Amino acid sequence: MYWSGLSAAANAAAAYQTGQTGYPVGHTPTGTYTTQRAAGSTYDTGYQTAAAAAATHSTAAGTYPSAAASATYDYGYGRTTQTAAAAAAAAYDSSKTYYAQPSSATAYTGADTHYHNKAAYTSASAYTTTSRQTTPVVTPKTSYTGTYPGAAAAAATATYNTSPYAVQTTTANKTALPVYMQQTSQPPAAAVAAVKTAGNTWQTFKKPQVPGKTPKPKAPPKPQQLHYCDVCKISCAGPQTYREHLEGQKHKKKEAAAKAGPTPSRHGASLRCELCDVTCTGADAYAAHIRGAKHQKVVKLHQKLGKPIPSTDPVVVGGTTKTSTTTAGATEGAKTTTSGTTAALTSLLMTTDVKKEDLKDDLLDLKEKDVEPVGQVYIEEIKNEEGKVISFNCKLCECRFNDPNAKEMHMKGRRHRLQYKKKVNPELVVEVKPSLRQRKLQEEKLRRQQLREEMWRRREEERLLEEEERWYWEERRRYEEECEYLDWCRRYPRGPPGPPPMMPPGMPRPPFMPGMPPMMPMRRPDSSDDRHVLAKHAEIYPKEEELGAIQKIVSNTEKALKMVSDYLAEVDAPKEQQIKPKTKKEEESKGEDEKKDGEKKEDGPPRMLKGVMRVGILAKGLLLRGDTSVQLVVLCGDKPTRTLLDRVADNLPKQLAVVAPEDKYDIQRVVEEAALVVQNIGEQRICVNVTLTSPIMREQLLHDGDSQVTAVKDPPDVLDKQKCLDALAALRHAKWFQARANGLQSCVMVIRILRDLCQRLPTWGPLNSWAMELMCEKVIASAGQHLSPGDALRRVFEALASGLLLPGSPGLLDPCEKDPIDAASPLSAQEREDITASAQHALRLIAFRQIHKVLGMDPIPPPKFQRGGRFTRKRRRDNSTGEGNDSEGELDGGDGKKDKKEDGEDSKMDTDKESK
Amino acid sequence: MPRRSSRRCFPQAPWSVYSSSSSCDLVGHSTIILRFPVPHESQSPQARAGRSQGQRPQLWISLHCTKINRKQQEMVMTRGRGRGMRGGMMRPMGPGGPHFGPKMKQFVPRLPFDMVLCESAFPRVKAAPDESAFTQALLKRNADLSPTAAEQAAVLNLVTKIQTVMDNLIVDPGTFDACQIEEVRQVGSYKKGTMMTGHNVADIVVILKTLPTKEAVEALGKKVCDDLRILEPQEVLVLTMLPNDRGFEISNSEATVRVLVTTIHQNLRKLDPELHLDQKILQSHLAAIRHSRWFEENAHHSTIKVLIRLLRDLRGRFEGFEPLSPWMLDLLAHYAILNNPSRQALPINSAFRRCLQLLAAGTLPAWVSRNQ
Repeated sequence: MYWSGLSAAANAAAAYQTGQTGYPVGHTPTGTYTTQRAAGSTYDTGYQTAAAAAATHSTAAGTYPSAAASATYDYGYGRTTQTAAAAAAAAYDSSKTYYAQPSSATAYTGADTHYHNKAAYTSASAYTTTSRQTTPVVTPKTSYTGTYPGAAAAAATATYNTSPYAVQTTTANKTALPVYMQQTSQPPAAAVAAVKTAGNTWQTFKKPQVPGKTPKPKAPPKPQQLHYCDVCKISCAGPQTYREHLEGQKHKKKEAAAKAGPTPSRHGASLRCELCDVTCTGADAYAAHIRGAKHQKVVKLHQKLGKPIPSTDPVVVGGTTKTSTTTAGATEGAKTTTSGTTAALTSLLMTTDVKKEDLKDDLLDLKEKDVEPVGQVYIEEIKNEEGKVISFNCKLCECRFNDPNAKEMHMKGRRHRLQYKKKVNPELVVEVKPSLRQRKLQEEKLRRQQLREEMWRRREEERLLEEEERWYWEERRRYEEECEYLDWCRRYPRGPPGPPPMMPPGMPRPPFMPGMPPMMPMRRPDSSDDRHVLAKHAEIYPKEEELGAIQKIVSNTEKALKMVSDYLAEVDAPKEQQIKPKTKKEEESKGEDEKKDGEKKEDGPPRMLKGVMRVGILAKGLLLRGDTSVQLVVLCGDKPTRTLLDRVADNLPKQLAVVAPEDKYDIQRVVEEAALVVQNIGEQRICVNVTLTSPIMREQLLHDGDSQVTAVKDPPDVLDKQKCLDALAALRHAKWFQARANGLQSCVMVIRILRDLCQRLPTWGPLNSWAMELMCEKVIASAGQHLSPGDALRRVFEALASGLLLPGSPGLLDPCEKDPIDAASPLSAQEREDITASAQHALRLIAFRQIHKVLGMDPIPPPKFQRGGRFTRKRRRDNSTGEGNDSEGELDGGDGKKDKKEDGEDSKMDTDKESK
Repeated sequence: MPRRSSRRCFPQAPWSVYSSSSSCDLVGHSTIILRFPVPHESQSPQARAGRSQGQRPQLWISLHCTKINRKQQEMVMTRGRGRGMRGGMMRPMGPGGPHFGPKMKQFVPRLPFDMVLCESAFPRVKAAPDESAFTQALLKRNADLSPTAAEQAAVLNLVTKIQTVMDNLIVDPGTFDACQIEEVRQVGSYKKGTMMTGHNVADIVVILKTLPTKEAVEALGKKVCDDLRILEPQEVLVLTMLPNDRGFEISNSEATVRVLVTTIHQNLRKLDPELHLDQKILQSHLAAIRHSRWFEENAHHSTIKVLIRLLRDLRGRFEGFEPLSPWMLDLLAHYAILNNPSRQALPINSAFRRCLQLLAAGTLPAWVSRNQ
């Protein structure tokens, strides 16, 4: 054994350095000591128990009568040596906090004496093997402390590095010491305090130790006066019952259990009440036990017996993973000493090693167990009528309990904490279930969760990146768009433009985005609105034959007029001298006009009729299906007179007959309109209004100074001046239209649609076509980008809805007049209001995808998802225009308009009233 | 990062019309078409999904406040839903080609007609009418609507106290463990300076670190109330605390502070509708914080505040305007005043008129029938 001890000591040689040679040689018994120490190179556990055992007056000896005694001895021995060494160490190394306390030093010196006592006690106990060991140790003790201070100190420091304080540092969140005490459990707080403060108290404290030292007999213990069973910690009424008890199953079981060491608890770590030999799963359970009646009874009994009452601090008991608990460790230690085999020793060495680790875990577990209760708010108190709390209800876990203790326990409990974490504070840390399998599962889960989270994060990042990129581009584009638009606004201020001829033929349209060629409507094919507008447009666009008929009569009229002009020139030429100089002038100009014809190169007097031009819908290409009236303007060299009109009217039929001998035409003169009306006679009556006018009429107006002079010269039967001026304006409008509107995408189409609208809806009737054309062009052009037909139409309604026509708006400046004139000036305030309200309603319909109601047509089903049912119904149109009284009447095309108009008025009135 | 910097680069191009449901950052109503680069719009996919399913009161306010009938709106809205990715097709391709996920917002580039932006296309036929009387009337109305000094003092006083108590709770929760406060922020009209007289209510958003259970909210309310009583013992009798589904209200005789409870973003996924406050509400509270920050950064011009007050008054008096949320009004006012070619703030009379014109021109439902 000594040899083995030596070898063990050799193992720990590093720690012993200088003292090593002298140490084992000089004092053979210290071999044991060293062994012990070597075994306790994981000294902490051993130390704990040993120190505890010593301090608590060796209850362990009582508990484990046979082997434990020697164990206690060993440990006690080790410990005291240690403490002695520690005392020395205190002097050497004050830098260690532990040693820094001078009180501890004194305590340990005090412990020296205790050692003697202890030694005496252990030797007194009748163990053959151990006493043999101890006795030699005791003797050299005194000299030993003195002699090997250096070595001991070195050993001590070496050991203490791995001492329980390491454990503490890992576990302790609170003040280290109390925790330590609680967890190492055996030294009562008071005792340790005493140890720390002074040796005297220690001395006094030792007193109760003496009765405790009465050697515990080996089981079965000798019956005592009180018939106290030490194993079961009960007293029996008499010897008979006591014997029965001893023979009883319960006792046997307990005894066996005591021999085998405490059964490892299911739980990872637990607390044990030494006195009652009860294992509790948690601090709270332990506290409950200590408060409980059973424990109190045992305490009372022990007091009566004069037995030592161990501290109420629980013993930490290891879990399943351990080969033994601390107490079991003691037993084992004892066993090894008794068996005295090297193998056993080394195994002990290993087990203690393991133990240290496990203990740390245990402490950790228990530390966590000692958690703050959470979720007090969610536990409601249920009171009886008297207001006394009778039970508690946890709202989180949906459970009830009657006992306040149970409530406390519940609040610290795992289930409750989990619920709290789930429902209240996701940050709460709930300890994982310590079971190995569960822990593994938990880890697995965590890992999976982590992976998942990482994936989420990555995905999120990607998404963010993507979004950011998109944002960037979107924003940039928006910005560019706006810039371009504003630029354009600045560059092409649409101030009052000059008369149409001065307008540059290809008025630059707003520039497009560099990256957006005019194929935008291609990229976004047709919205539903577009399709409706296109369909409607196709519907209202005149048929080929209609166009042909109109074309025919117009060209015939033109040709005939040309011939009339020739004829008039011919007729007038000979009379040159007789007639007024005015006619001469006419013929002159006519002559110029006809130079291009190359027919008559006579440099005679100017022609009376200088030319014929198409105006109005004909010129603008706004003809709609069913239009039967077109306009031509004949420009005269001089102011057109009634005489001239008559002459033309007289001559025209002849010429027409020449031009188109197979067709018959009816010609009427409308003097008040300064016009002729040519009508074909056939199944389709088309009338061509030919208005006579002359630029001179306007020149007169423009040059106010000359006006008087020319006015004087006016022939008496000059035609209506206003009509002539209107015809001139129509000419300018036609030119303007060709210059501005024709090139603007969707514009002509929208104007056609609106023309149709104006014809269909009485509300819109008053809106003259020139104002409408002007407005459409301005509104669509001001969008600054290409608009699809649907968008363009909608924008027009938007403009009207936002009050473009209402009084106070800028108005529609007529570009074809010299003075600033509102093209829509003929509209009365009421008409403006009606149109605005109607436009608002129309806009609403468009916004809510009912554009067909605005256009007065059937809804067109989306192309890809054609549903046969809706497609076929043709009657619908009639219905929609006819029924105004059903629930959706408000939304129906024509009638709806009127209804809505009234609505608009009503609400307007309302607002007026309210705002007053 | 690109987004932030782009916001900084183009601070004046804030408006566009979105058809996306995820652009509705509103307290209260969930559809908005006005869209600004609102500070960080990062939301979990779930949150987005939740939003798009929310009911969307349709807004349509014409110049005359006529309203389209409800049934029709519904019909229209449902039909207009879920239109594919057409919006994405018109986006210019950025380097690397932007990949558009199915969640992307539909961008509708066409702004509705806006007279102010098109001014140059519509030269005035005659000089603009004199609107000084109108302007005076607007200013007078604003003066009438502004809270009195006494009201302001009262609400400031209460807010300060509550803020103090909350700050103390953050620093030292003591025994209060029902919830943990992450942050307390003032939001809403009080913060923006657009309060109205007779409505002395300030809003505070409390962001909890913990999940906002109803009990926690109530406990917080109680705690704050108790602390207030300790702070101000003479107010014991007048102070009341009323929990509701958004948080709680603390009011004394003169002022009310609405404490809106929400939680940090990470927690939004963990909510259980049975136990906690409604997720939508919580999100709206978070949005309120973003909104007030945006307002601070972009809309501090005093004309905007005047206009907002006028619009809020309008909203209160006309039924048709009711669906407009405060946030929409903020955006509208900001747009009406600052978004014009000259980049100068528009005078109040033009801006007020412009607001109505914009609404009438269909700023709100501009997107509805955009695509199939």
